[in-house]
Amino acid sequence: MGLAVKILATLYGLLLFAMFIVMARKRGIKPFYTTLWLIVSLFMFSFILFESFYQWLSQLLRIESATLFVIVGLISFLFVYVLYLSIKISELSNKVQELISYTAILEKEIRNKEKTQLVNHEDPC
Amino acid sequence: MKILTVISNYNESESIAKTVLDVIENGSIEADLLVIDNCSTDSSIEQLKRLKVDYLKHPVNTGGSAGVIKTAFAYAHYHGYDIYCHMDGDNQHMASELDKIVQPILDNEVDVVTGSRFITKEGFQSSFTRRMGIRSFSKMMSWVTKRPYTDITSGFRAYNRKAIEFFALRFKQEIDTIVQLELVMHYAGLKGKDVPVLMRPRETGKSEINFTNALKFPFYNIISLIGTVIQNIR
Repeated sequence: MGLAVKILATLYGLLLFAMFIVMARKRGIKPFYTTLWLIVSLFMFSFILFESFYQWLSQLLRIESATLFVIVGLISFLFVYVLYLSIKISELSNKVQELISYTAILEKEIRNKEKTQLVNHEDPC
Repeated sequence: MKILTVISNYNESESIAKTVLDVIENGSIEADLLVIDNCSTDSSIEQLKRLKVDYLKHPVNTGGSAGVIKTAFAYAHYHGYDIYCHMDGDNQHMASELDKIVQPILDNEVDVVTGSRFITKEGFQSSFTRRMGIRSFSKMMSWVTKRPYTDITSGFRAYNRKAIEFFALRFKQEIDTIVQLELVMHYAGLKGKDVPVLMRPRETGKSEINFTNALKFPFYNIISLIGTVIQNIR
């Protein structure tokens, strides 16, 4: 593996690690996602620390080089993650629609109740 | 038989009063009236308050009339309605034609009825390009579902209790397009038919289908069609 790739991977790993720290502390990101991105940043570091392991693995899988193996691995991870996010967005979107519907119904019920109370208050008979 | 007529409204302050008064004065069926406002930014709500008509107001805009339909199903189910009729707030649908879309349900013929302008080809017929778009999608849907569609985009519809319960209790997904709504009904085993009705041209306000939306419409509906066919929700 070339020095340039190693530097790039280290910088990318550091950037991800810093972003995950900031997001975890300031943006209130869920623990699940915090852990997920921690794993990704650690994976980037492991690429430099355990280079020989990845070389052995890429040979085993008949992938040309360890670099290609890592890139393929990362792209596969991103595909799975985007799919997972699509499911989550769909779920949230459905829930938001439900909430909009029931909030509107509830608001009308409150409005009707207030109107009834007002009429009763004005005309105690 | 409890019937609910729902008028969907989004920034139709210039025509909503006319639509409401048309239902009150010329409605051909005995039904409760409800207006569902999709978070209008104009004076629609003031108009509805002035007319002293029952209304629901979405806290945020749902993007299209499909969100209003979802709310209408929830409301109709919550209040135990047997039939729910849908009209648009642009005063294009005629209240005097409501009986035509309700009758096949009262006769237990079908579960969903769509009022179509293109069966007898009388009254307002829309522009040529829009007619072509509607015709292509109607043909496509007829081919997929093996039931004849003539006016797929028509919002003038009536749903029976079976359809209300399905959408209020079982189908928990957001409805994105009219094509999705039709396909979901087909897969759920809800029988539908088109009946001829008369419609009026839009007098005031802006149509939801502007140049950008006209380009988006086929794109979204084709994606929606493929996705729903794959899901094949039963």
